[in-house]
Amino acid sequence: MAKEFLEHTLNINRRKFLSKLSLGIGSVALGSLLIPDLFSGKPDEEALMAGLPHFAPKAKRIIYLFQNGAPSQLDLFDYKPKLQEMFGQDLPASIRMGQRLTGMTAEQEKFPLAGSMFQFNQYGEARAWISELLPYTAKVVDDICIIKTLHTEAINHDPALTFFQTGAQVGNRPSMGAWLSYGLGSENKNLPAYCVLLSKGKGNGQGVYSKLWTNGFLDSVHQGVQFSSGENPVLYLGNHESISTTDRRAMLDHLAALNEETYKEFGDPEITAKVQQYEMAYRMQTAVPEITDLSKEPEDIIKLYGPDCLVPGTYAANCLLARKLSENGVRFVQLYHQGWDGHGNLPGEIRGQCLDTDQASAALITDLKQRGMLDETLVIWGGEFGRTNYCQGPLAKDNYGRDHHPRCFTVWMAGGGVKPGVYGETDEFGYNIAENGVHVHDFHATILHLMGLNHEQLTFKHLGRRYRLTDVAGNVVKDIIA
Amino acid sequence: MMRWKTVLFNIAFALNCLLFFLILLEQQLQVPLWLQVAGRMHPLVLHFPIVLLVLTIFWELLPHSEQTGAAAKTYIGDVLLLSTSLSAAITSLLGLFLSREEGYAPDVLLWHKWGGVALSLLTLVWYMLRRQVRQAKPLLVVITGAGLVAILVTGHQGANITHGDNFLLAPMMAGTGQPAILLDDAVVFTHMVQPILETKCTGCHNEQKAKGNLVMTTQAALLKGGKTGPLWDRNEQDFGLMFRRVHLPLENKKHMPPKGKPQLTDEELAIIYHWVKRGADFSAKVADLPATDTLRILAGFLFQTIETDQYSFAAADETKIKSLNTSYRVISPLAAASPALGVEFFSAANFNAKHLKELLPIKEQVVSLNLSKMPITDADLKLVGQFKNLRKLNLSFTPISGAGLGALKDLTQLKQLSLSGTQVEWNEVAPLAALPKLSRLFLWNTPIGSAGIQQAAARYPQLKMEGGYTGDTVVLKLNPPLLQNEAQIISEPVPLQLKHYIKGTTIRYTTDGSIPDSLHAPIFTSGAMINQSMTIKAKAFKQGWISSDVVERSFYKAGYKPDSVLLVHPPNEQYKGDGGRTLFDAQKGDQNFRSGKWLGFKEQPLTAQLLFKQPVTLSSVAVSTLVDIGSYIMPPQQLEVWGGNHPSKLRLLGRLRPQQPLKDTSGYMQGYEVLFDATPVSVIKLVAVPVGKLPAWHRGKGDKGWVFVDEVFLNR
Repeated sequence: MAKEFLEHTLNINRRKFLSKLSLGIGSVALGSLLIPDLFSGKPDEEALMAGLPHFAPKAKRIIYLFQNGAPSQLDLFDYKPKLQEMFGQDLPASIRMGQRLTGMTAEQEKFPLAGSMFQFNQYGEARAWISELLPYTAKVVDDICIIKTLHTEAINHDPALTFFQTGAQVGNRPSMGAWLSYGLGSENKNLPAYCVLLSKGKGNGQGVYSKLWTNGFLDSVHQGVQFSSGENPVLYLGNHESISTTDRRAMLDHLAALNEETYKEFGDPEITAKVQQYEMAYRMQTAVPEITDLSKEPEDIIKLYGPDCLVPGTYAANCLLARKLSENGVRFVQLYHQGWDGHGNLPGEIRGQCLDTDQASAALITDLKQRGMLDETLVIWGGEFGRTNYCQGPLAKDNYGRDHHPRCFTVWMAGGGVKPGVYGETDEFGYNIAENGVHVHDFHATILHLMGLNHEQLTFKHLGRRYRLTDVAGNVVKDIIA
Repeated sequence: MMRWKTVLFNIAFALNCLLFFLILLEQQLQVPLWLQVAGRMHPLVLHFPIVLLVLTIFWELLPHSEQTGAAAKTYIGDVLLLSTSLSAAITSLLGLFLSREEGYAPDVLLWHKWGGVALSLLTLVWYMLRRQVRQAKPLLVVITGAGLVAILVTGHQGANITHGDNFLLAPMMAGTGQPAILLDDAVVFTHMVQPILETKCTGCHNEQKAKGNLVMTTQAALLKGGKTGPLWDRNEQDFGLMFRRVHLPLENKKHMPPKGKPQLTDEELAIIYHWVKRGADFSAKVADLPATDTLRILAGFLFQTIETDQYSFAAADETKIKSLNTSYRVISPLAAASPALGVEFFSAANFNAKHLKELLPIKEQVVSLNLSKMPITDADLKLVGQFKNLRKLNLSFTPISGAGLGALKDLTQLKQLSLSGTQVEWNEVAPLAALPKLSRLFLWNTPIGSAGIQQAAARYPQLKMEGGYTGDTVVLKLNPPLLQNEAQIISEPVPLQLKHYIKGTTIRYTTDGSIPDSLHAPIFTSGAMINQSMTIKAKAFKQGWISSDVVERSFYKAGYKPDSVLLVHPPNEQYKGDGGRTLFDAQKGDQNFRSGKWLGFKEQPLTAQLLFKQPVTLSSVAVSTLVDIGSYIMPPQQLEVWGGNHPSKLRLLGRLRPQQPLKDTSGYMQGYEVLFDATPVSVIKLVAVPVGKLPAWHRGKGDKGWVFVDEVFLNR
């Protein structure tokens, strides 16, 4: 043993110490080059994730009116008189440029151009073109920013939806709402930070599924909570009929005392997290019925959203509910409205879809505005892609169908620090982007920016790499920020 | 060997003399072109004396050991010192040549020049006295110290000339001590243009080193331009010299900034361009530009518009904030590292006025307060009035009366105030309208009304007032009532269940197939029953609304069930259900025609023989069908009911030609009842003929239509 001690002391002589020191200093220096903030004394990104925005946000909350199935931009916002002029003629190959089509029309011999059968007019300061299908949206045009040049990489519903929701076409990544809940936390501790509302139109529908509001690899508290339209908006929230509120309270208190003992013994933070979840569920038992009760809304509000807003499960009711949730500090309210997948009989279907959604979408903006909430609430309207300028199936002046078109489509945003107007331009065929394209990653980066988050810094380490909502891309579209 | 050193020393001595001589006659000095080339080698050569001097100092201060020997040490020391002296002299001389070129202002060169000369002389003298210096330790320390100081000062001054003032420390100084500029205060030139010039231009175009005689650090100098003329000329199409130079290809010698230096970004270029385009105004403020102006838009990204930076107060104690945070009172900083706080109250049931009072310790920091829907009183407003730094206050749907609003008159920072849904009057709000920063006021759903707001808006044009939506004059159509009876086949009387979600609506209904009108149709009350086959049509009415569309549903009384059913023609392979049994299984189909509850026929009519072992007396045969025009499913073109005692001896009991739809509508289900005189029968033959040719308005015009039937009801 004495020999080992001697060897040990001999091994740490001055020369060895100095040479080792140089190595140490060298690696510290290298480290500081590779990780610039290593010695800056700034907290690292994990520490930043304390639920605070990186910089002063323009918007505090989001209401995303997802038009599931992909509305036809050519019949609603993207006015193309050229398509009427060339009605029935084949889409020039110079425009199509051999781009990918879906299996549904790839076999078509001809791609006859189908101009919209609907009338367009210009509205507002921006003189934005809006079709006769959206009379209510036309009235709030001065509050919305119409982006005509969204584009995506997916051409079928599931990957496109998943891409819009999670920033990746394959599943299992966290949804946008989950990212925001992770990045900003919940405002109201009595409600989930991310709520999901579903409704169904009469048009050709496409499915929505819970993977769209998944927390992915983030903590499960960030998962979207689906509100259903029946008597129990949040499933399994109510007490069993044999248990009164006081009993529940007593039970939770005793449970908390037991948990507290276990916590003292093991110190596992999961235990306190669990207790907090129980407490939140308890508070939700009073908060949720208060919010989902629409019966006290005054007649003005019913007229604003339209009479359907009191019928549970309708788009109008969900818009009204979204306002109430938002008002109560829910960070991200996600609506899905099905029925926009107009492959055939599009004019008939889209007319019905617009009747169901137009008034309530516009009402939401007016309502937020009159309460002084619009400047801090970002409202987004749009689908997962657009529809083709050529007809799928038989073409008539007043009846046609349109296939999926990912190369350009229209989305609008309102409030939350977005500058009203029209952004981006498509070519005269409405097929390709002429200027100012906005990729889905750019769209995400912009939304995060409005919420006070740097999309490059909002990361989560999983399986050895850091993930972002915007993957490795995305630019903030500064031109649409007020 | 000695001679070699002597020669070098003599050269160094000579160069120093020359240097001294030229310095004295500096003003007369005319540098020939070839010497200018040599002079430009100064930035290269200068590295030698620096390194050599440091080495020499190091060597001379090193204690000599017995092993290496004093002789070797002295020898190396001599060589080092001599090379230092020689290179210092050469460098100084070349520097002098370079300084005669244009673009170097004499006053800045002063320290650098004399530093260089001093260094050259110092090293020469040191070499001459090297033996004495080595003997006297204090002298050695003094002379090495002097050398070190001289090289630091000279080197640093030189670097400042080449790279720009404060080049060395700039990366550490950046971002510290510079107060952030607010958009409202920003001046286009000072805060947008000048910073670009400072980072990209003034490194070469400053008073010290005015390349091309151009100085870009001051207003006057910018207007003056350089030796090639003024920087910009708005009368020229491309706005003159500067923009021409900037847009030259990078390889071009005249491209600015020169290749290798940081280039202007597109955004920076746009800022300078639009500034010149607007008239190169040195005092214009960003806030005065129209909102659509390009400069204004570009400025939006440069300056923190509001919030973050205008707060002069210190952050509140973090633990204090944490302790005040509850489930119903959420306090959070506006952003990471911002001292400003936002406070939101949730759940009116849990609100207590003392929750507001508890916030007083952080009243300085609270800039946004949301009390919407909380049961606060006028007394509480006095508390709110103490939050002096409030920018945003939301009092909507609170039970305050206008009388208490006076307590808010000291909120001089207030920008946005929401009073929507309160009982305030304009004369009570008016004193607040004069608050200096108030720009938005929300007055929807208050007694002020849209007329009052219009009047007020005329008096306070800077104030944007939201009156919001009023539905008084809006007349909308009601949505149809909800017919909640799901089961359409009834075996015993059931209560009719009609409902409407909007309060105060009247529901009227009929059972005879007519459209309910607003006067005569019975009003729905909870006692109404369905007790036989009937079609309920109901409609909602309300004052101030257009009456709703009709909701209708057919109900069928479950009747006789035949002992066997024979389908003469089989249904379409895809929609064959369970064959004839499907027609009597008491399972109503829904609008999904693929559900298996429907039988579908197209090529051949539905022809069913319904056989009874014991004769029954019947007077009604009802058929429940589906109409889905988009899917080519139409009402039957014709319904026939035959009856008799034997399949071969049947007579026609009744025939019906259902009305065909005249336009495209969404799908619905429709029952058709064929009535006839009560007849005892053992066999019924039912025929439902599909539409032979779809009408002209249909997209499949000329094609055959489908008939879909799910149930048949036989009653007496």
